[in-house]
Amino acid sequence: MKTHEFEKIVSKLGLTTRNSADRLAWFEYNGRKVVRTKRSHGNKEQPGDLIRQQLKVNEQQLAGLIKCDVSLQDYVEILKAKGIIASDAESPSQ
Amino acid sequence: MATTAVEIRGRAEQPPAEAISSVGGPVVRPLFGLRVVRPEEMEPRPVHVLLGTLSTLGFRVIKAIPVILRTEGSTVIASWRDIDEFGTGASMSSACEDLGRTIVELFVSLKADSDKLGPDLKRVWGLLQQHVVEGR
Repeated sequence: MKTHEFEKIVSKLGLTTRNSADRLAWFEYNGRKVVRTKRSHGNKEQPGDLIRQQLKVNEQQLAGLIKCDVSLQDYVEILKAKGIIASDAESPSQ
Repeated sequence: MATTAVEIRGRAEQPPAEAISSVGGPVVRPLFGLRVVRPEEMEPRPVHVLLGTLSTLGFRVIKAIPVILRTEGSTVIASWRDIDEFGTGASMSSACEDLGRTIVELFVSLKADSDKLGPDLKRVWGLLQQHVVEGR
C-alpha cells in the first residue's frame, strides 16, 4: 500500500491520528475506539495486508476504501456485521 | 544488495601455516580464515520467533510474544497475529524492536482509554495484559 492510499483512508474514515515513531490512526465510533492502524513515516511501501487486517476488511473492501466504492457508512456496516461495532450502536454524532 | 557473505572461522579450523605459506616466503600463521559463503549456503532467516524483551524502559514481557517474520523487498516485517500488530525494519532485530515499540504504544493508548474501547480492542487489551506489564 502506498502512503497516499493510507492517507486517503484516513481522510475518508475520519481517523484520529497521532504522529509518533509511526503515524498511528484510530477509528472511533460513538466515542469508542474500535479499530486502529498505523503506517511508517516516509514514502516507502506499507504492508497492505497487515493494514487491511487491522482495519478488519477484506481485499475487495480495502480496494473500495482506497477508491470510491466503500463509503464511511459502508465501513460502519462492515464493522457491525463483524461485531466490531455493536449492531445496536447509534450513528456517530460526527 | 550483497550476493555473498564472508564467514569467519575459528583458529582451530585453520589449515597449518605451512599449507598456506608461499614457497620460500615467510611463514604466515593466520588468526582467522575467510571463506566465501554463497546465498544458498546461508542459514535461512527464522519464520517464527518469540519476543521476550521490550527495548522501552518501564515495560517488560511476562509471557513470550509469538512473532512471525517475513521479508518484502528489503524490508523485514515482524507481526503478532493475535492482535494484528506489526513492526518493520531493515533487519530482523530492527523489525522486532519496532514491533516492541508499537506494542508499548498500543499498551499505553489502550490503558488510557480502557473504558472507551470497542469489543475487538477490549480483546486486544486483555491479551496485551497477559504478555506485557509495566515496571522493571
